[in-house]
Amino acid sequence: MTFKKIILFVASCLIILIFFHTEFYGNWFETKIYRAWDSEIERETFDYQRTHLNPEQRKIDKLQETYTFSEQVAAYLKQMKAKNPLVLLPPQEYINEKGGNMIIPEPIVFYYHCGVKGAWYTSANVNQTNWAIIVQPPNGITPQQLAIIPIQNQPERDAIIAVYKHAVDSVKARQQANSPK
Amino acid sequence: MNFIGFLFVLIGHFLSGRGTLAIFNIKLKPLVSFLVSMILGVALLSLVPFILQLFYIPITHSNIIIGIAVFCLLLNIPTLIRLKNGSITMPKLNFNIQLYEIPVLAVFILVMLVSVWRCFYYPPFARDMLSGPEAIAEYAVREHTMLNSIFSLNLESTNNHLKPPYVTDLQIIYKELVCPFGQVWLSIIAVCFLVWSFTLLREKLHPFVAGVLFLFFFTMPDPFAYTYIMLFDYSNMVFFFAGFYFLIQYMEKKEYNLFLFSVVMFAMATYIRPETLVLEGLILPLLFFYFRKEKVPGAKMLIRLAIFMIVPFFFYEIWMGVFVKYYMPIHFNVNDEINKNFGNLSPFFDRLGGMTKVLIFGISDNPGLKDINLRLYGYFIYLFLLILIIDLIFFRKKFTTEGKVALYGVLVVYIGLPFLGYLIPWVDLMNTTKRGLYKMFPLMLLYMRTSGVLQMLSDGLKKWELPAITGAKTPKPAVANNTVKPAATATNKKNKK
Repeated sequence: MTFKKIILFVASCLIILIFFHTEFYGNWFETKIYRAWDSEIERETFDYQRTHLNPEQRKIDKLQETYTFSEQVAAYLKQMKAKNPLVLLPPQEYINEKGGNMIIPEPIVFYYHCGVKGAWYTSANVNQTNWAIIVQPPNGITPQQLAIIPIQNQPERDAIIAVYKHAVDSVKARQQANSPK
Repeated sequence: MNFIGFLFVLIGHFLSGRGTLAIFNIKLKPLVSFLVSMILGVALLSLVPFILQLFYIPITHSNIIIGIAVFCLLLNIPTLIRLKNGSITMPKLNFNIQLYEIPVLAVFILVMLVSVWRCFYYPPFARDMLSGPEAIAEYAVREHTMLNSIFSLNLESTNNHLKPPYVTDLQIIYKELVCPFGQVWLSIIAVCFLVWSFTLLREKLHPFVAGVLFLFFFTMPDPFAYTYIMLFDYSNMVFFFAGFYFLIQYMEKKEYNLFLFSVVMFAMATYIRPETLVLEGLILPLLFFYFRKEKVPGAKMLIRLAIFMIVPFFFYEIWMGVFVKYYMPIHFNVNDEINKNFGNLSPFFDRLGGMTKVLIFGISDNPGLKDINLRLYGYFIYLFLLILIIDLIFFRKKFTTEGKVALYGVLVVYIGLPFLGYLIPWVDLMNTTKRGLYKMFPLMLLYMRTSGVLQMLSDGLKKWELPAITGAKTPKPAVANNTVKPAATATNKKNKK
């Protein structure tokens, strides 16, 4: 009986070996499981993770720019002692048009990350926004970067919104032109 | 991580789940009893912050602890009475793992270690969570109320703040008592459910066959990912399956308490995802025919059918009809979200076609969607179809009640999901339907444990492995042997149909 159990044990081992040697399951195991030990991205490995247990670091590692962007905005506003800031968040199309690829969080996610309220240019409270995120072109010293600027008055706000809208409309127009008729 | 807090919550899950099993007089083997208690206990404890909020009691650290303690105590009153009467015996655990099961179990443990670690380590990152339950939970911890500053924002980009409180409340409990990202409750659900699945397979199949099926089951890529990515669907799948499982137990044993317990499980599935109510509606024909077959009197039948729908509806209504309507500082009308053009059935057939072609068979003109079925679910669906076809051709007379009801459950999900897409336009193919299909898989697994071909294979293996024992003719048990047969007490007799 023990001999038969050993035969079944060997068969079980063989099945697992064959299973994970198939292209599909082998690939799944390598990309989803084995990468916890050996990955090109260091922050995905156990070795890295067990030595980086600080919650803040874990958020930065996983959520990356979306989180750090929100945190930097909040830190800047705190430094500027901004009262009741409401940040005009740019549409994704505007960032992409300017050559960026950072994912801009929606207002609720932005608030979740950093505790600062945000609004889109389509939001009902857009006219109460008093700060805005824009892309600053390179100036010879610093490369192109995101910047937060205060909004002093309605014309300034309208001008920023017009730039945002222009980017959205351009992307839409391009998509329509490229879509099959 | 606060280990004492974690231990307190774990005990809370077990006691609330075990207490509920005792209330419904559900007798299970010790290991299964533990697993089901933990699964049920996770959902039950999530009611605590919600109840606190309903009564406008501040959601503070101490109130959560007191709430959990009181909740567990209330659910364990029948157990305490039995304890006082000395009618409780300590369960004997008997794992009895065979040598040849070790390889599959070792892979399972390895895979789940990765899952549990990621669940603990990573912050919640699914967009549906960050723009709803997780954000509300984070500010509930800071502001001691679920109706917090999140609702002072413009929420036009999301409807996730309207999702039921299951995730929000578990996140509140875990953030308060366990760790800053919460989330590890998902590991409890996933591990307990998968171990339960394996024990179910082992009960009716040779452990070697059970191991191979289990390997295909826990390595399904998409469901595996949601054992550590926090969302509603994995938990919804678990409770929907549990509802079906105990319904089958009721049909086989004809004990009314099993029917009521299955209703509780379906109610929990509805509490997690309200649209599950529609799928439960599709189970009514099955119940109707069963009651007719069993010659249940008309009035009794109507009462049971009503109970089957009313209890889950209560959980739907307490959230959508009471909390969202009267507590939330925003206006939301469910009717606005429902398709008004009922005469046009094309969305139903389009979705049914899309789901079958793309998600089940991976057929698409879009190169990105070609073979997506494999990337999502591996070869599990093909394995099920292969076994079903063999059974239909060669083992038609071997279909059991359990197998038939499990297949009915698969059909409910298969028809129900496109119907949901027709009813509620925001139920899309590549998110809601893709994850909704999870509900099919444990039911497929349940079918496979009764499959004629796999039974034959199992019997062959048993005879080969243990000829001396299986050589003697022993009568087959008439019912599933996963539940412990209760002693013939007055209570049990009363439970009988």
